[in-house]
Amino acid sequence: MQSLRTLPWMAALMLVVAVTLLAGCTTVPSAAPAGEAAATEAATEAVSAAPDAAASEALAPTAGGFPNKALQIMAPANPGGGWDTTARLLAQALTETGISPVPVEVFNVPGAGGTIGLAQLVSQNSGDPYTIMMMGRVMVGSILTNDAPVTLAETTPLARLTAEYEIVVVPKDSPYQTMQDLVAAFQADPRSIAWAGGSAGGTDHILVGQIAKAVGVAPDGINYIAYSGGGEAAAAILGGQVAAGVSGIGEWSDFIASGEMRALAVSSADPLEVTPGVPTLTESGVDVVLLNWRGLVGPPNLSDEDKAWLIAALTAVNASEQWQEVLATNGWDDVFLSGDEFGAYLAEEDTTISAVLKEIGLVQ
Amino acid sequence: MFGADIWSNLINGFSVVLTPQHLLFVAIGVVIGTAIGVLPGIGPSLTISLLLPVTFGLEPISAFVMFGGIFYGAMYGGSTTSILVNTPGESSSVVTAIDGFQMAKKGRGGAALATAAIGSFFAGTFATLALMLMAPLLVRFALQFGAPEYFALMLLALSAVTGLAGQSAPKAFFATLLGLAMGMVGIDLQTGQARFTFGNLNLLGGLDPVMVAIGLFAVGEVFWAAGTFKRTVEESVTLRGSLLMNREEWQRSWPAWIRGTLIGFFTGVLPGAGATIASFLSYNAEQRFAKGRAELGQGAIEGVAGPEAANNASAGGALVPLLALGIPGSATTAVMLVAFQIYGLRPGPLLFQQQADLVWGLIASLYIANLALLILNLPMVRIWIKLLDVPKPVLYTGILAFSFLGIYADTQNTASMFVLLALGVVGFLLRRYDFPLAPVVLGAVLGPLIEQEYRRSLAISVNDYTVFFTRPISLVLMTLVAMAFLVPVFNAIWKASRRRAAVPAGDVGEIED
Amino acid sequence: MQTIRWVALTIIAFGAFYVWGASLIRESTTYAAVGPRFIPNAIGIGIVLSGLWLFAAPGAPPAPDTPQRMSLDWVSIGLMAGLVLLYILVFRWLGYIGSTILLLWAGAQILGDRSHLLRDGVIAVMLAATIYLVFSRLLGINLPQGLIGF
Repeated sequence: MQSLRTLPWMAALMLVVAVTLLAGCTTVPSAAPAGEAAATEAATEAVSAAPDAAASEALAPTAGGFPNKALQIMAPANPGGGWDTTARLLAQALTETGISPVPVEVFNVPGAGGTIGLAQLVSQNSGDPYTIMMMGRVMVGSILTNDAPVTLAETTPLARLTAEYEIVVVPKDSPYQTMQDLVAAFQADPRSIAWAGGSAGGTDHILVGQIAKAVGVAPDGINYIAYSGGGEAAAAILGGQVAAGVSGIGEWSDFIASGEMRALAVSSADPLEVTPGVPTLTESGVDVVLLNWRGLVGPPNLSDEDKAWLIAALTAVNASEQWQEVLATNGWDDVFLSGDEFGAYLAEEDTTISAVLKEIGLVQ
Repeated sequence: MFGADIWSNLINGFSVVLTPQHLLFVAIGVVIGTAIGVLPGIGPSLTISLLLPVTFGLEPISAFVMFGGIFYGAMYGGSTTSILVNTPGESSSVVTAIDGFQMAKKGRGGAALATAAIGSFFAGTFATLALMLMAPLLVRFALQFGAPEYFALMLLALSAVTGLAGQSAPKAFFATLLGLAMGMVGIDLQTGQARFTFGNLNLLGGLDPVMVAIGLFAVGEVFWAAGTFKRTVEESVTLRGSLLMNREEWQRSWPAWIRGTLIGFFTGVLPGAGATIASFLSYNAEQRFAKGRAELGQGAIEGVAGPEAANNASAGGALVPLLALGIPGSATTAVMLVAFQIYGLRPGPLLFQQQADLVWGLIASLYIANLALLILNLPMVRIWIKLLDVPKPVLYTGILAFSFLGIYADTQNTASMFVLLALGVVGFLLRRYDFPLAPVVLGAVLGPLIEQEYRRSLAISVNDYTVFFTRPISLVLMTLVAMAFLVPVFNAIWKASRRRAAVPAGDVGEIED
Repeated sequence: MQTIRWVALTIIAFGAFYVWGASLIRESTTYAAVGPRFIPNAIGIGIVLSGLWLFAAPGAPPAPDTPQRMSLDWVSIGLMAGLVLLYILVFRWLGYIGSTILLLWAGAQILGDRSHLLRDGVIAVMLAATIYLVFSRLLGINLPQGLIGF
């Protein structure tokens, strides 16, 4: 056997193991061994103290016994973005309303506007109803700009859940008081207007492209500055570094409310309750309506039974009080559309977005 | 936002946090944070996002004090493997490995760990204090930074490379460019075009600097060990003298802590700069101001004290834009923003009014977490030192396993494991031919930032190149950059001219080309 | 020729390859003050220059007793690289625990721990199982289950 010399490092190893175990245990009360009673107790106490969500009826498993283990929602982006946030809020709603009889977990497969996650879903999860993917309008665009080998046509469309409208803002001491002012300056000297928004080819960029087209500015006049997240773009606008900014409404609503940013127009068809007094683009003489939707798709080759169960679960959660509250808090619209109708909508979006991306020169 | 009643708010915050349950969550947070800091490849943003679902049922304050503990704790733990086994677990502790590992070889590993822990405590406490007292002011300062300022700041961070060069200027030059080259891989943010992906979908996401750091250092180190274990007499990294710092080490550490804290905090406040850049900027400052600067690279304690204080202070700084504006400045704060949203909270000016208990509780818990980390980490030095007694074959394969686990957990994709292996081979080859590794990581971190900010500057100004010199902050930073690159060049020229009559100015001038 | 000069030539070749790679980037027709090719081109040219510089100024050859001068055990390095490659290839198929036990145990043998076959085996099993339990079961990271089903 080993000499006494091995004792210290064995101790060190055990310590690391113990530390990690302790760390893990205390976070999942149900899995904690008896030794961590104190931690578990505190955690359970906190659980019971949480505000009770309106409990809904749990959905019965299918005849085939699905689901009998945790469901996984893939957020095909880094933690912290729109898809990730929506996926996590959805997982929370599915669990807390009791609609899902099994736990719902979120995992991230970041990269390339979601196309890496899409490729993985299609190649590795075929027929597996336990893994579904969050996605949205941006993914339709990314598939086109990245020339991705896998498209949404190979997935099983489940549901379109939320929509967020876009908003055009300027810094608070900007000379542009209205959308008309901004458009006039844009037409006079297109490149002098630096537009801040999310990554190239995304919804923000597409909106600017559509505005340019609507007011007769050539695509090569669009001076679009891409930022890697709404936060960085917000900082650029708050600091007056750029002339205008484009983003989803929810992301910047606090800055607008506190007067740090001036909202000029929203991309909805009718004025929105969440942004009182802000006209639509159409009202401002720019004939553009844009809806940034998010939804869920499943892997290819799902059985009809499993697909029906997933759609039923999403339909139920969409109707739940808790989810409607989530929509209201975040300024999202309920644009629920499920199954084949959603599939048809996806095909339609592909055509529209492809045309705009060609127009602004991102796709050939 | 804060008013004159800061102190009563803070007392209120402490009264919120000083309950057994919340203290327990602070304790859990700092333990988890330290553990993941020590493990290569598993960072705070991944951990917090993994813990999010299990905190659904908790009171928000419990979750946030735990996340605060993880956030600070990860920065504490990050230095340990850097110092003891030369394998940084996060990109923000790469620079610590340079002098830290040399100190460990000289038997001063205990002092290196101690100065990292105490420096981190100092930095974390200062950062929390500054967050509490000056958040609105700092936010206004951060918003002054536009693309040209960021560009200049990134160049300044890049100038740290002149001090990382080691023996050979052309080798350091290449190492930096290699890092920058790696940073270009993936989708171009400004135009959406794929670059250097050669049709491979998995490269579209780019090469994460953390992956570069772990591949070059940790995986490369294992290959190096495989190639040399039969040839070398075991390099004994043992302990000599006290575990604690001696008088001289204290005297050299504290100015470095102060410099590192200030640099790190202000860098952290800027959204998008982050802990890695803070640590390199601090190393850069140590090269100019430290008493032991001549010894940097061979185990100067300032090279550990400064960067470790800086990366902790930057963690605190990153909370400023998060809490005051709702703008996340790093991957970890982005996940914390999601956590706020899950609890139906919106960080920003209104948070301080509407959720005073939560905000002040969080601030109070950060003080407690810092203290807890110091109490946890100083005695832990004794235990971490025991890592050195683990037989090398077991230790190295363990490092390998954790590195690949971290990458897989982050990407859920075996393709990224191949990339990590390839980076390990590159790291091994660079070591074999005596190229410095730290500039590669620095380049990979800075590459995309420098490029994007450069292009943004010129797009916003519509091709006006004077933009870098007509804005006050940018001008100051650019002057510092010029000094950082030119001073070593002039020094070299001066030295050379003393040795020889002819000055090969052309050669020396190529450093910044 | 000195080895480092061969390294320099490799760097020059890599720089040329990089410039070629940059030429494959599509310049989009959308307006950008500086396009997506500009900086990559500059970096590629810089790499070529750094190679030329190194070729011209290779510096003194390393002292005979430094690790850089030492002849390396290429067999062990090759085995280690092969093991890691194998690990990645069987990662999903064999599952996390199985593949990691293989990595930990065989890796320790390659690194010269031949006299501790049993001890390393025990450590490999313990560590792999612990990691799996902590990260997969408790933290919810998806780790492949593979053949064995866990």
